[in-house]
Parts: sequence; structure tokens; C-alpha cells
Amino acid sequence: MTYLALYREWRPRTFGEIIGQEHITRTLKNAVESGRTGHAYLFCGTRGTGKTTTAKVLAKALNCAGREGPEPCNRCESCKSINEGLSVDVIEIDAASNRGIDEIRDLREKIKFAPTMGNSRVYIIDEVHMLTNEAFNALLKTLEEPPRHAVLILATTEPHKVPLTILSRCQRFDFRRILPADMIKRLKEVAAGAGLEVEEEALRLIARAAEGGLRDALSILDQGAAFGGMKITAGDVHNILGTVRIDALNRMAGHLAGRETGPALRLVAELTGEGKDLRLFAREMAGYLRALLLEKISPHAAAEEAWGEPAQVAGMAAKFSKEGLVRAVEIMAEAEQNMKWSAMPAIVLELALVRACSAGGLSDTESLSARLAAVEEKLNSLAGVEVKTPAKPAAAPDRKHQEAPRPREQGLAIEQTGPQDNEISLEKVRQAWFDLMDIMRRERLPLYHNYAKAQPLALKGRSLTVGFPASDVLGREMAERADNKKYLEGLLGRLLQGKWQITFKNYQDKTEPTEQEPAARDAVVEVKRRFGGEEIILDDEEQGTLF
Amino acid sequence: MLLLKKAAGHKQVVRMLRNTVSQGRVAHAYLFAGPEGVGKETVALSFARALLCSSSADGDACGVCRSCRQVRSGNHPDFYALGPDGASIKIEQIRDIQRKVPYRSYQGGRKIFLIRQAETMTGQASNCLLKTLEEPPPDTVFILITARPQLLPPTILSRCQQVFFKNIPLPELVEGLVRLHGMAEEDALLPAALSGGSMGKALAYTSGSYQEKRQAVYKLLQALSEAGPCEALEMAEKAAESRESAYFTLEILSCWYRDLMVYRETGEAGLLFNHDHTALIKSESERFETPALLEIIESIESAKGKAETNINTRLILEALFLKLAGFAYNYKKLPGTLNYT
Repeated sequence: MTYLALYREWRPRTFGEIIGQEHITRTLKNAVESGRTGHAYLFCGTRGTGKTTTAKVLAKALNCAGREGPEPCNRCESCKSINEGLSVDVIEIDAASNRGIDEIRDLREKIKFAPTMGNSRVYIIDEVHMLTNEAFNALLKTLEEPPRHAVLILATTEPHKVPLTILSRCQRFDFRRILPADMIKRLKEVAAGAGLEVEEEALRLIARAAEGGLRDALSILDQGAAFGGMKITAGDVHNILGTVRIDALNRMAGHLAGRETGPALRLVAELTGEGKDLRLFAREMAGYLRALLLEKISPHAAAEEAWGEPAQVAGMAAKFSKEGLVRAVEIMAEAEQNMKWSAMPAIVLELALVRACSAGGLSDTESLSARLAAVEEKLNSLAGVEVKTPAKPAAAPDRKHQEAPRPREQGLAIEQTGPQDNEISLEKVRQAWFDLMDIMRRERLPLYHNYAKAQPLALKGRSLTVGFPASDVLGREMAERADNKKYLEGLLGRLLQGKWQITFKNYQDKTEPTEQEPAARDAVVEVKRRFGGEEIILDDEEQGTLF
Repeated sequence: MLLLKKAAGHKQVVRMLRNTVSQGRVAHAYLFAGPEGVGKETVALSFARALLCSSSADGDACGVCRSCRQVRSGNHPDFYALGPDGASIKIEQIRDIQRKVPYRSYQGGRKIFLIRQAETMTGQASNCLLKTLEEPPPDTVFILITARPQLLPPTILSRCQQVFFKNIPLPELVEGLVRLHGMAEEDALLPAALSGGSMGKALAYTSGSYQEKRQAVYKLLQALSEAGPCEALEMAEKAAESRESAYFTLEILSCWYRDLMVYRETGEAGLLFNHDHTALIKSESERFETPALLEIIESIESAKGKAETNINTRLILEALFLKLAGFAYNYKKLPGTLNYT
């Protein structure tokens, strides 16, 4: 018989051997023992946590002839044939390869047949999230009410891709990531069974690197066996994973804490010389610094993650300030991200280390907080201006704020000046007009000349009509240009508060049409305000002369 | 085609692979992951040869038997290789493999499936491969090759024995260049150092035109250190003539300023990439403050990132060159110019 990978050879064959998923195995065992198994199960969880394994064990338990209690015997014909994958009653479907509606139709056809050996026909549909939409829908009715002898077990790593209508028809079991402690226990069992000798430290490394997937852990163990023969040391595991020994991490952390740039860079060169993967190192370093941060915040919280001696971790954490650690973690995590895409990851790492070590690294946060303080101060002063504005007479000294009023400021000003609206009259505007022209002369002389012949004509709320003599069309057009108009509106706002709107027109001789028929004008102005556009005065008599 | 024992670098990987062959612990799926151009495929082919060889000794192929010759000439019936069809590996290609997997091998040995650039598998393709990859028939071995394992779904990763290829350490790379490509050791040193441990890159760097281009970049640096804004913009225009040359310029600049920073911080010439300009680096590194260097390198790195995407290279280089010439720059320009001859 050819060699089988450890994770295949040591696939658990009973519920008892499945580790880290007690909440599931216990439920299933009770269900099997009391004969209250459902007809549709959904197993979900990350890779290597035991979904397919549990499905197979459950299938065996349901069909086992010599079962005593909930566990399958693994001796009877049925169990043996299932273990070898030869049973006709347990059908394992790879839904990712057979994802179409035709495969599901085929399943519907065949599910009717009674089991040949045991009591039930079990369909294990693996990677079920890859079924097409049509296939899922074709499965719905069968999944809801399958024949009495049928049990469907769906397994997936991505339950969010499975339609709700499928989810609601299944008993759902979520598989957890396997904790390092549980994993180490299982690794020991497997190692003993396979005749491997493994260092304790190596086991811890494997458990940490596997990130909750037992299959990953066993793969690494397998490689370790190939690499180092029957005896696996921590060094072998480091070599396989490309990771570095904890003391290199410790040294680097020491350099960072002491802000020793030179030694840190030398250490990088040393690691490169040993052929270590620098991106992995950055990742490990970020993880280690995170563990230090955890230790700093709550002592012994990081103990579970198996980063070497707890006393050593605590000692190293004491060398850092909390802010320093947060920054260091940020910098390393960012560097790791950038290294993924960089053609020369070494430079990215070196850059990050120099930044983490340099005093500028710290002053960054200092300058940030200084800037924040400045902004706060400014905000406060702004708030002060807003409160004072209504009381202040025209032309406040602080030009900067007023020339470019911020939207917020404007909004506030309107609210505050609301009650004063009554006080503004055309008369008042005319009085202010001279001041206004005065300011304009100082600030924008050309525009001032343009306005020389203009005067305020009519006022409605805060919308002002400014008149130019009929002959001065050019003056009106200049005034109507958006920037000039905005400027005048701003100027009015400065002198009389509030948000102003201005319209321009040419008037005939000295008469002021607005004042003659105020009611009619009001309506026109209102229409203009709402819809925009300009007013065209039609002269019937002149039209008549045309013909 | 090489034998495993003759591959450049990757001593630990090779040792592990040879052990698996000699001890009969060959797994059914391997993932060879590591940077571009370090020799993943070379090792994978040698490994495949060792697996198929009818008279393998000590975990390595004999190199003379029928199987070995067949693999070398690319017509071994039990050796299947596939790569991206267009931009990605499609589900049809994977289904094609799956049809071949259940059959026995033609020559009675193993069947090898080599998948290049495995990260380009579409989501459907990789999911389709999952079950086959987990439990293939006993005589089947999958070898997946990728430079970006982080792009593969974790479900694929956890089914494979992951073999990490690292950048080849400098001495081994030099030795490899000398042994396999017949170079003189002193000629091999510089490209090896500049390549950052990638055999493919080092070979590209050994060509004469490369050296000329590199000198041109240093001349450009010198010109920049004396240039006014208009001249800097002109240089940017010239350097941005093609995307490749712009990227190349950026890489050389990046190495140069990195050397300045490293020398400034450590004072050790042994850590430098540009071994041939040690004296110049020494004097030049005194003209810069560390924060200034940090800022420059960051700008170059970000310019490199942008140059890889579809952004106007001339604009990128203009912004960068203005900065390098001492304009648009947060730190005071120090007196003196680069004196490159």
C-alpha cells in the first residue's frame, strides 16, 4: 500500500476521536442513541475543523449493524465498506465539481431506492456552497421531505453562500477553530501512533501556524517527518515554515524597544542570509508585538497563544510603552501588507524598522496631538466668533474667517440672525451701501468703479435688487459674473449678517419701478427666486411697429 | 534539466523532497510557494523526475533512464502540466485533469499533475479541485506552483503540503551563477546582490545593456542633484519614455537610497547592495538626515506601486524628480551635490 498523508490516515473514525467540537459530537451522539436523527444536516466551519470527518462518522453510526451506544463499531461490514469508500449506501458528492441542476436531478432520481445493507442512505454533499442557484432550488423539495431512509449531510466552508431556503431546512452545526491546546493533544496522539518523536516546542509551533485547522497541522507534521526523519525538532519546523526562532523575534523586539536602528537592520541582513522569508518574519513580528500588547493590557492573556516562556514575554512587554507597542504593531502590520506586493520586500521591511526605531516615529504621534490641540483651539475660537457675530458691528477685524465663510458658519449665522430679520429695511441697506462701497474700494478697486453708478433698488427679506442705469449694461453684466456677485453677497453678509441674494437690473431714468407696484413686484421677485432666470419686459407698442 | 541535488539554493527544501522520495513518504499534493524567479518550477520539474524515475537512487532521479529522458523532452505520458489559459486557469481545465486522475498510469509508476501559477485558478476551478486534491488515487501527485499563495483559498492551502521557497541567499546564488552559467565570481556578485535572491532576476541583470542602464540612472541622479525644476521635469519626461524603463529607474533609485539609509544607520559596508560604489555611498549618506531618507524612500516605493498600475508614468516621475531635486520637499536641502563619475 502506498503512503497516505497523515491527515488521511488519521481521519477520526468515531465521535470520540473528533477533538475540539464537543458541542457537535455530543448532540449527534445523543441523537443517534435516541434514534432522533434529522434528515438534513448542514456542517459549516473553516478548513480542517472536521466537517467531512463528522459526516462520515455519522453516516457509519446510522448504518452500523453492531452498534452499541452511539459510536460506530468500525468492525461490521457496513462500517468497513464506508471506511474504504466502497459503500453503496453512503454517497459522497463533490458539489464543487458536480454543481449543475442535472447532478441534483440525478440525486433526486436515485434517492428513492432503499438502502442495500444498512438502515439508511446517506448523501454527503461536500463544498455545497458551489452549487448553482438552479441546483440549490432543485434540491429544496428533496431536502425538506426526503424518503424515510435518506439522510442528507451538507458540508461547506462558506455558509453565507448557501441560500436561506436551504439553511432553514437543515439542522445547522457550526464547527469551531480548534484551540492550540486541543490540537497539541491530538498531534501527540498522531505522532505516537505514527512512531514520530516530536519536541514539545515544535508541537507548539505547529499548533500556532495551523491557525485552527487540524489538517494544516498534520500536513506540517508530515513535512517535518520527511524533513527530519522520525525525530522532529523546533528547528525543523522553523525551516519548513520559513519562520524564525522566538529568540530572533525577542532580539528584534529588544532593538525596537531600545530604538537601536543599526542592530535591527543588521538582524534583517542576518535573517536574509539564512534564507528566511522576510514577509513571514514581518507577520510573526506583528503577531509577537500584538502578544506583547495583550500582555501589557492584561497580564497572562497571551499565554494561550504559546509564544515562548511567559516570564520572557512579560519582561519584554515591560520594556515598551503601550502607545509604542500600538504603533509598532501598526507599522509591522502595514509593512507586511506592503511586502506582499513589493518586488523588493527587504526594503519595505527596513524602512518600517527605521521608522519604528526613529525618534520621529514617536514625534509623529506628538505632532498629531499638537495639531489636534491647535484644531480644537481654532474650533473654540470659531465658536466664540459665532456667538459674538450678531452683536458685532460691521467689518469685524478678523477678515480671514469672514471672507470665506464656512458652510457651517453660514448656517449658524442664519439661525442666529433669524429673529432680527425685521430690522433690515431698504433704508438700512442704503445706509450701509456707502460703507460697503468704501470696503470695496479698498479691496477690489476695479469692481468699485463698476458699481459707481449702481444703487440698491428693492429689498425682500434678504434678497436685494441692485439697479444700474439703463445705459450701463456693461456694468450690470460685470456685476452678474458669478465671482463678483458672490463677493458682493459676502460683503453684504459681512456688514449686515445673514446670507444674501442679489439680483441686478437696469432701470429707466430715476424712477424705481419696484417701489411703485410693490405687490406685483413681490410676486415677480418670488417667482424669480424660486425658478431663477431673468425678467424680460415686453413692450407691446414696439412690437406693433414691427409689422 | 537539473537533478535535485544540483539545484541552486533551497538546500532544505531539496533535502526534504529527497527524503520524501527515498523514505516513500510522498504526499499526494504539494504547494511550492515562493517569490518569482527563485527556481520553484526548476525544483518542481526535478522533483517530478525523481518521482517518475524507474531507478531513482538516494531520492534523486538517475537522469539516464527512459522516464528521465521522457520528462526532459516533455513527452512523458504520466506527466501533465498546465498553466493559465489566458489570464486564469478555467474550470474546464480542472475537469480535464479530473477525468485523467482515476485512470492508472501508462508506465506503471506515478501520475504527476503540475499546475503553474495556481493562484490564477478561478473560484470555480479551485473549488472544483478541492475533493480531488484531498483524496486522489494512490499513485497521483499534485504539484501546485505559485508566487502568491495568499491569493489561493485556504481550503486549497490546507490540503497541500506547503513547501516555502525563499530568496536564495547571496553566497549560494553567486555559487549557482558561477556553476550553472559559467560566470566569473566577481561578475556574479553584483547582479546577485541586486536581484534580492532571485535567480531569474540575477540572470537578467548580468546582461551588458543592464549595466549601461544602471550607470545611466546614476548619471541621472547626479544631474538631479544639480538640477533646477525645469531640468528635473525634462529628465522625468525622458525617463518616462517607456513604462519598463521607468520602473527600472525606480528600482535602482530605491536600492540607492536604501543603501544610503542603511549605511547611515549601521555604518557597515557589508550590508549594501551597490558594492561597487561604497565610497560614494559613504560620502553621500552624510548629506541626508534619516527622516529625509525615509521620506524619499517612501516616495519612491509609492511611485513604484503606482507605476505598476495604469497611472501616467510621466506624472509620477515628475512629482518624484521634483522631490529628489530638492523641491516640493519637507526637509531642508543640504548643500553639495552627488559626485558620480
